[in-house]
Amino acid sequence: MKKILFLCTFLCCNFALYTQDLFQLAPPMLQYESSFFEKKAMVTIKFAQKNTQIHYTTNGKTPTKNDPIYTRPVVVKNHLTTVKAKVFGEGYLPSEAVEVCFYKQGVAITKVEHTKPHKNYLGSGERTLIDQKGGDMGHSNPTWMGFLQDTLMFTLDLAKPQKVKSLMAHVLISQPTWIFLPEKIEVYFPDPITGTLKLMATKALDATTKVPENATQAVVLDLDNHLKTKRVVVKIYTLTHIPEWHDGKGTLGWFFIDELMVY
Amino acid sequence: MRRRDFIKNTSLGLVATLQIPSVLAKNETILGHNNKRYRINQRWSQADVSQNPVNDCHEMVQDQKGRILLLTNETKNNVLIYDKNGKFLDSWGTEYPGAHGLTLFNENGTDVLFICDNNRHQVIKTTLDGKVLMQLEFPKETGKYEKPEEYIPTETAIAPNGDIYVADGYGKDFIIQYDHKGRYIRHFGGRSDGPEGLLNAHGVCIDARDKNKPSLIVTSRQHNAFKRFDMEGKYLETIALPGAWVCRPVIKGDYLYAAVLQSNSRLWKESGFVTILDQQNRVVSNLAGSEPTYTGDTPDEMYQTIKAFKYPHDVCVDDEENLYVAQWNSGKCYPYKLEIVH
Repeated sequence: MKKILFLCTFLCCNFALYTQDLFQLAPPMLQYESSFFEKKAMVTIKFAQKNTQIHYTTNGKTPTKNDPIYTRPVVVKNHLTTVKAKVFGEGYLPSEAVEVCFYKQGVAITKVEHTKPHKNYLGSGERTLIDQKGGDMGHSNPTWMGFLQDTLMFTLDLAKPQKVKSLMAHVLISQPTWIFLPEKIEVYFPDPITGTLKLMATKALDATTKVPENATQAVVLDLDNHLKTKRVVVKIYTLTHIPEWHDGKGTLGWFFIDELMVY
Repeated sequence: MRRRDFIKNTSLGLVATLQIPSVLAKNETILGHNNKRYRINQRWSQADVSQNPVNDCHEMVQDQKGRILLLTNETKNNVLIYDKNGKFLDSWGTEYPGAHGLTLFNENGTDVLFICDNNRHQVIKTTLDGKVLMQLEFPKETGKYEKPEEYIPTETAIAPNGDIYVADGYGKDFIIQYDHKGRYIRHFGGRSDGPEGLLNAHGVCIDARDKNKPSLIVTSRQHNAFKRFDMEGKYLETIALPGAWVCRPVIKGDYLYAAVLQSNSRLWKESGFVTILDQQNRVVSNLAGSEPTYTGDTPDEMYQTIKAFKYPHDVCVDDEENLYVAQWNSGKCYPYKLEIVH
């Protein structure tokens, strides 16, 4: 017992003499043009700190020291590739991992028409939602369009009539700034003769659960792959009642979108 | 305990010392670059938290006697006074709920303090032991303010002739100049994205490094920049610091020091560091931040690399070139000391 006490005293002395904590490294900085690409995307990873190494993966797993060390920009060519990076260094706790997901361009869309966005968040013109630009989290960046009304319509004209497998809407979640997921998304194909809209897919989303960190989300709706269409109509029902736990409770939530893709 | 046991225990203890995990091993982290590198001491303050708590630690200064004064918005004791070794000496002040800016001025041989209070919408001049000497109210003389609430001063700088420059950093971003008696002279700056415009004019200081041409350096925090004006408020230049939410500039010797509240690349994620610029306004060292590199005349985007700080809010440089860093919204922690490594 005495021995143990003695040892403890020794260790405690060391604690007391020591004036620093063991520090964790901050995550590296990911730089890329856009989360969307036509042929390839490139990610630059920055971390200017001596005696540290950036390790990265493109297989969706959290990087370990066994994964490649970053030396030059990572080139992404495949749809839905996630690049994850983490920094390690002797004498430090490793950083948290940071990641970005890349989406390859789908079928060619010639035109998009939609409900008018809020005047403060107009995006960057009529091709904002089909320009392959975006993917960052800054909602005031002109890659984003912001809406503050309950039902929104988006009409996408494809280059030619074709069978399509899915629709993707890339949206923002930033609850501290009152930006929420929508409640529901529906996809319609117009009847080629009558023009009547036919419901092809519907997806309900959990818009009211707390999301602590700002995030982007790719909402994907699977479609019937047997019908040819030249036009895809997307109807988005935004969050009509912000939940009780939020400052904006009971009011309409903001909805932000930067890209629509059809595959 | 018999002697033999003692020896045995001692050796065990030594073994334990050598084999303790890296957390305790003598593997110190040195922060910074070039000739501005520091050993950080996170346990510098010896104040008793039950007697002298802090909330946000906003700013620090050193007085003529070498003591370190800390301003906090904890109204149990708004001003804490330490010696350089972190020994708690004294405290005062219960009337400053929005205590934010602390500037020390040597007025004909006597140190006086200027406190900016965000909540009171006032600047208060005091003696070193807290006696109030003067109070500046909201600057309606400028014609820009209708009520006190529009004015949220964050910082003051005092010119050698006693003129007082107040930065309304959380209000309308004007710099308001008064004479030593508190009489309004002029105002300049104000919120805009133009070259002379300010966005979160969080700090101001007198730059007397060029003795023939003293000037003012003003923080434009959301622009990630300092802006230089002459003593009459004419805009001169912008010192861009991409990525860095700089707080007030602090000049000591040839260098300019500033706490960086956070990195632009990781907003509101405790991503602060400390930056140091030489007399040519070039970043020479980032403490817990990225190694400074340049493309042309502008630094490459800067960011936190080591989580040694959360939200640094001010740097005080003492007479031995050591630093003290006060932090905002960082778990009510006391300031850290950073000893220069020669």
